[in-house]
Amino acid sequence: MQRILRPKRFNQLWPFYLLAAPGILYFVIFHYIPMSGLMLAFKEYSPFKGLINSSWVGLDNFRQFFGTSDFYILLKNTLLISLLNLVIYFPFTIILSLLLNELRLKVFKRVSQTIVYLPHFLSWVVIYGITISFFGPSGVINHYFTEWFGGSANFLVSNEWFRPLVIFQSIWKDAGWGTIIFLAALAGINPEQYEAAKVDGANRFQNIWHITLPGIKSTIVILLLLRLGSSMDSNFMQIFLMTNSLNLDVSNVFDLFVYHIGLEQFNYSFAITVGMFKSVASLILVLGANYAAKLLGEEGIF
Amino acid sequence: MNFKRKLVPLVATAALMVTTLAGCSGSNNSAAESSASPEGAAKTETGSKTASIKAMTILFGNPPATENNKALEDLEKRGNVDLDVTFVPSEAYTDKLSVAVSAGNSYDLLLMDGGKDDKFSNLVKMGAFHDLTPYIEKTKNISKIDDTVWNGIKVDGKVYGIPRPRGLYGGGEANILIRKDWLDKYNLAVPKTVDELTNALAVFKEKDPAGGGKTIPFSIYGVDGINSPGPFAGVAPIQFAFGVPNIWKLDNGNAVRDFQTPEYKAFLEWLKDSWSKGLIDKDAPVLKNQGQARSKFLAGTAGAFVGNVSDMAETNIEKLKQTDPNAEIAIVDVLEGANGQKGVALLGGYYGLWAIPSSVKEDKVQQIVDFLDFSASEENVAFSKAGVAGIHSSDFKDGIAVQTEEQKKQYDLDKPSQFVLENRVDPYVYAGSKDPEILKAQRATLDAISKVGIENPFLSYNSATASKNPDSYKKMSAVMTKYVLGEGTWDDVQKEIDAWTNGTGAQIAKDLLDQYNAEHK
Repeated sequence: MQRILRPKRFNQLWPFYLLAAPGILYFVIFHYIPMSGLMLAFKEYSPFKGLINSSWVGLDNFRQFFGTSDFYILLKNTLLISLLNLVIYFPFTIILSLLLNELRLKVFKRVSQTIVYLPHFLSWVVIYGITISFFGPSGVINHYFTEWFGGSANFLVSNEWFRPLVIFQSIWKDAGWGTIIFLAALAGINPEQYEAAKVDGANRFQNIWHITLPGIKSTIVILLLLRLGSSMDSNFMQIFLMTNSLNLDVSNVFDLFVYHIGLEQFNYSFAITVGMFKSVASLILVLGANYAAKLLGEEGIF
Repeated sequence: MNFKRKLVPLVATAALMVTTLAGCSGSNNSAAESSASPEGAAKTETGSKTASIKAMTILFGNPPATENNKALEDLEKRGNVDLDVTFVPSEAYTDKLSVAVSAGNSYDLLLMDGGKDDKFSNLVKMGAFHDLTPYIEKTKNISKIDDTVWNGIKVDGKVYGIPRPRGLYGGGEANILIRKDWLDKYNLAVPKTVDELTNALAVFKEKDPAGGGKTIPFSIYGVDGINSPGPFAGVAPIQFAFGVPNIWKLDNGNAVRDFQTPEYKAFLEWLKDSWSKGLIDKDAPVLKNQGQARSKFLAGTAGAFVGNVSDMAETNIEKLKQTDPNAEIAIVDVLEGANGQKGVALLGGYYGLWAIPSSVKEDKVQQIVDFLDFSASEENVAFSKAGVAGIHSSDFKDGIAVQTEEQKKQYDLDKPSQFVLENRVDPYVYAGSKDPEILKAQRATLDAISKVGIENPFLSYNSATASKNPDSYKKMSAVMTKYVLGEGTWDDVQKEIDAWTNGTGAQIAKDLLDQYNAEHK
């Protein structure tokens, strides 16, 4: 078998290249050729002059971007939301999958799984609507707050509550969905290990700590790396809806900035500049984290 | 593995976001399919061959029927055109327009909904649109548009977009609409002054006519502080009653912005006081647009909101009557302040500009302009209100269509007025009721406000500084809102105003004054 799979010359290999060709072409045409559009970050793009004829402006767009007083605020807000997602939302999905995994009654487990997936299918607009009716100034929670304590909490109209609410929304909507991959990894752990541990007198928590968690460690690392790669992206729809004039200090993130300056003002070059910055920053983050993972003896993603 | 794919989509964050947005708004707009046959060309004035026009326009509410639309067929026949209109819902319009402009050659006619703003001027300078100055000279109907409107939209003395005429006075937020039945219930007259209004709102708050503590005396909405300062929008009549200028005023040759005046402070005090008494919707800071404020009113929980006479329409009253059969709407024509100040904004007199992308061939431009001119003709005023005789109405008398229930249903389905892309100059353009009583009231209100227009001296000028700093009002808006909500002091607000006055504000004022002085030598 080994021999057949390792032929040496092209005339033996061409059927395989032929098979791969559509995939390669797809990436070249739809993913690599469009990358030429990146040069717009260095041009003053006018849709009517086209990609080629728009005039070059060098690093002006970058200078303008890094020069705005908002840059550090944007960076801080974007990273903070990602970081909070990483330290709160992400472990939450792991804990949730561990809990689901401990369920012994098959039917109950299936039903619970389906129920925790459901919110994932709601759109952000619906979730924002629900958020308003619960946390809004005239929402359910404030209604009882006023009745019991005489005061009200400014959930949606203050800087303090913005981040907790955004994380809470993410967990509410997507935590169940996030368990899918972990549950698959958990299913791959050899049950004999548990039986052996049981014989040795391990209790449930020791099982989780010594068998389950190490069993899904590589999955956790890979998902963590992938999340790092998108840490410069915010969930645009979510943030866009949650923004108002009273929480702009903490809610203004790169994606929102691109929308306001790039799209609302027809400033395409500037939008691409910001996009490019985000991508390069993400690339560095992922490469760094991947390197760190390798140092720690994990597999990493490449 | 997955990582390499990450590199790729960085090209067009912008493009991606557009698709996301467009997708989210659920606006899968299929263009109205047109199938007019050239046979109908016989009786047209433009003669020659049928022009095919692909246009994109803004849509509020439901789109017209796309199949077998008799209104569209009729219009195409009379106008000798093959019309393909893409209706884009207002929520997604800015994004779709951005895509349509960047895509270059897909449309023959685009509605620039912002009018002559920085975006439009920038696009013109990029060479985006045809210069229409020579084409409009020969028009019969379009040329009737007021000179002040034309002067307001010219870029370097040339016309690059044909304005869609609207009333010059007040715009979409000209008047306060208030629950007449609630006023009657507590023996209150329709408010004429700020004090009477405040009093009526206080009574609404106290007596709770909506029941269960649900009454919202006054429904307004928040601003995001990105494009405009101020804590709330939907308050124009009250601002003018306090003597606040219409955005800018000229004072001894200096440009003064509304929030720099002492009158603005007095207005904020009123807001703060009303907020503390619970007269203003608690949800106001999280509401995003006039539509949301209006829907609270139409849901029967709010006592008043700011709209214009077109909100007094039968459809709105019907909606209100579903929750409260006694519901009635009264309109406050002009609200007067303590010192007799009052007014409505004197506006550009148009909503949106029809621009023809420069990718359209020159010989087609005249055809498109001719069609817009035809749209604005007398016969199409009747058409937009009554549709096709025999199908959408049986008669058209004194500006009101006579319709059977069946015809009315067909009219609502085909929406003839949506296809009349360019409307005729008409000071009563907002008075669209089919009920003679309401129509009379609407016209009376429009007459009343046409005497109290407040001018913004810089309406037609643009500031490059302002367009480069769309965030410049952000902080101000936040401190003003906090002040109104009782969470901050006036000093915080004054500090932001001073910072603006000494910073970007000075530059913006200079930009505008320079243009003003150049034109008023």
